[in-house]
Amino acid sequence: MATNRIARAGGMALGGVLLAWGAAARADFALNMTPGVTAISREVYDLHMLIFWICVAIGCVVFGVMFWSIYHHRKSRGAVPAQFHESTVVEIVWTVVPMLILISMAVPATKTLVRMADASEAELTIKVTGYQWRWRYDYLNEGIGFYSTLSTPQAQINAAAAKDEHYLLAVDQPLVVPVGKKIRILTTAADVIHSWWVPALGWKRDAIPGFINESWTLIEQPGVYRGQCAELCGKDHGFMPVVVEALPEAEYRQWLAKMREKNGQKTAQTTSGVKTL
Amino acid sequence: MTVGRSSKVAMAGQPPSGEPASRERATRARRTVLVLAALAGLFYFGFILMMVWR
Amino acid sequence: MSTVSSSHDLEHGHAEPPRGLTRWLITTNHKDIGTLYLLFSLTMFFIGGAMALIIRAELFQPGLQIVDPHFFNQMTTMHALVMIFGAVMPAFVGLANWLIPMMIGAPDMALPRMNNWSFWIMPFAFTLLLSTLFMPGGGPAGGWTLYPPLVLQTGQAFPFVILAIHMMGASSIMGAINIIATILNLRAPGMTLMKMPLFVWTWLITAYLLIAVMPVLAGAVTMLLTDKFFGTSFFNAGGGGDPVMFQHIFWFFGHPEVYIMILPAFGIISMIIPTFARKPLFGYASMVYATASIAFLSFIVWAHHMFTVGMPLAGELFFMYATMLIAVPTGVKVFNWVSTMWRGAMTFETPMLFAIAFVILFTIGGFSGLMLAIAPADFQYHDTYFVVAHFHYVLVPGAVFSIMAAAYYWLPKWTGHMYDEKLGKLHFWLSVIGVNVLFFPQHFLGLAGMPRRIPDYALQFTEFNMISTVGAFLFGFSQLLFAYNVIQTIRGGAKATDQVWEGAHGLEWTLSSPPPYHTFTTAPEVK
Repeated sequence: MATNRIARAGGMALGGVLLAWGAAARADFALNMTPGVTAISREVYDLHMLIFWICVAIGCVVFGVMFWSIYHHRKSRGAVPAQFHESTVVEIVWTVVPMLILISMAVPATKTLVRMADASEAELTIKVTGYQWRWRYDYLNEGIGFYSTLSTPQAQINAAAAKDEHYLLAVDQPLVVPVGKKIRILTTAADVIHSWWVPALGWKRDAIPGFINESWTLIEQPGVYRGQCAELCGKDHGFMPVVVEALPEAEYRQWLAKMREKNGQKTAQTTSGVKTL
Repeated sequence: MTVGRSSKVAMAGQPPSGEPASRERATRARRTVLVLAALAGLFYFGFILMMVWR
Repeated sequence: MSTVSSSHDLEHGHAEPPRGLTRWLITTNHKDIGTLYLLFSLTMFFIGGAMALIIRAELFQPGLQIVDPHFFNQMTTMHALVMIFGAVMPAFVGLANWLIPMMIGAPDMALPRMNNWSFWIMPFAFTLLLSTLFMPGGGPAGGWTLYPPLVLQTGQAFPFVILAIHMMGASSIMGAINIIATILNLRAPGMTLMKMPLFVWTWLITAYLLIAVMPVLAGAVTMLLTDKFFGTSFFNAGGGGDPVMFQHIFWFFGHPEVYIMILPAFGIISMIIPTFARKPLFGYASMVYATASIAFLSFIVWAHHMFTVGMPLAGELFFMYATMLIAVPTGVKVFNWVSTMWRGAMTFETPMLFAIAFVILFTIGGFSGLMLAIAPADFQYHDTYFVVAHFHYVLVPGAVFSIMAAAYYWLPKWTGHMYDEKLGKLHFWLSVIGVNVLFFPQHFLGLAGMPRRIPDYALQFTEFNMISTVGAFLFGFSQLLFAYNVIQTIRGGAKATDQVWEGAHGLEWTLSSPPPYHTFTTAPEVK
């Protein structure tokens, strides 16, 4: 009878999971991390999948043994308890084997981490400053800079208007970068800690007032990549998205020229403002 | 002190040897408490002083 | 024991507790204080749960419907503080109070009056903490991690929150000192350290962790206080301080803290599984060593909570390797539990069901923990719902399930009545389904890119948030069954035998059910 109940409930749970899975498939959206658009983001994705499958394999073995035992070694099936309660050999085996598995994970992880830490030889440096609650981008070698603020209308947030496709993920002025160039990104903040994150680039980095963090990226395909502030930064933490527009080199140059012309005067003022903070 | 009383209760059922043993146990418990409290204080002030010094 | 007359009564072996409210106010009895802790914890569990339901209701669909973002942030902050310091930790201290003296053959805790004090600080600390929600500017909204500079923007509530945290810390430290003093000094003759039940062992180690890290938290929040009101610059970059330094100090407390919430759970599971498998625990010694290794490692892994703050490469590598290492002793524990079940003769009463769910779901939380340990991948996972899913898997079907398993397991001993088994099983199945519907989709949300602590989200996250909210309400309301079952069992029910469970071993099961008000006034002999 207990078996029946467990089987029934197990079935229900399984049904629930399948239902959730089916719903997800219909909704046509990500269940998983994005492989992204940089060499690093693909490495990170591969690492993630490697560890995931290792965990799945270990889980299958451990839970398999456990369920086999739950099914066969139950009192209602007349099982008589054995009395064994220790084995040094077995303990050593299940200490050493996990160690080896961990080493096999640590090796690729270390390689990727070392590559991510090397921001040398960048062709372009952009300073990203977090504010409550918007981002500021300064192109250090180009002499331009601007704020990037959420452009989703308040009416959509309050359900007074229909939500558009990029609800909460659209800004008035995106960060525009060239593809195929190594870009050094310096993150800092003006008030509290923020975190600058674009999933397609494969990393996030905290923006800390008074300190500058260095990261880098090299985007391979043109496109618009969206992310959000990832560190709680107050009331409107959920409303300061990051939008990166990656353009082919020529188009990027055009955009740069246009920006210089348009923002020349204004930029001079605002960068000096940032320095005093 | 509290420790003394409770340990006396602990040993109440063992008549002749009860008293000295319970007092000894109370002393040990009191010593344990003092050491642990000192440890907690060390961590509290230690961390703050470390930061002040830094 | 606090009065001469009661200790006089004791010596004649027929002490009665005083009647009425005073009994609970002035009690120095470990059983009474254990009960107080457990009931306090249950109350806080429902208060923190109500906050969680407000959070999940707001996240049911995109847009702002129920609360404004500032209140949402207060809810996430308070939910965490209430659940960690108000629900999970006091529940374990309550279990320790009830069980440790009975398990080691001691008459009471070593310091009964301090015991009373450590409990009665708690209601005041939490009244203070919860009252901040009604202050101008609202309660704390910077997250339970209290990161400066954000936390310094808290309104009038700030000093009250700091004081409340100090009070909780004082309570925990006193509780921990009491537990260590009890275990080290009041064991019955013959109860050597390596004969102690694992629950006692895990609590001994947990108590050391508490004494080492609660003062560190207190120091950190004291420095926040002086930064805000006395012009110091510990964490203010403008004055030569470092906001990241706070994170280092906080997580030096914070990581051992998460083990404080799981080690006693390991102890409970190590008591329950052998009982219902009718087979001794596999690898007792290795369980003790694994617990000690986890406790040691917990002090050198803190910065894995801060991989994205921009540490030097060497630091990130060290903390990644150290964190991965924790998987080894944790794995040993899981393997030992499975081996204990292997070739046993199992039955599946409610405590065993919760224990099995614990092993499976805690292991899933362990897997996601291992994934989070990999620093380059953590750059993606960090501060997303993947992290939320991870720590809720180890805390809800981990710590909370173990507390429920313990409650069902020892309730017949405490009250002398059997709980309603049918209701217990119903509660189990609703909880286990609810908790998975609630937290499993959050893995997907995090991987798909949803940051944590946001009141509103982009449209692609809608479906899984809806599923998660449905699970939250199912799980939350199922807990009313638990409260009902516990209250009914206290009020009456079928008489429980002394041993209660066929496979139960240990000193507490040699006592009557319910045990007399004072137990082991004469120390038992342990062979």
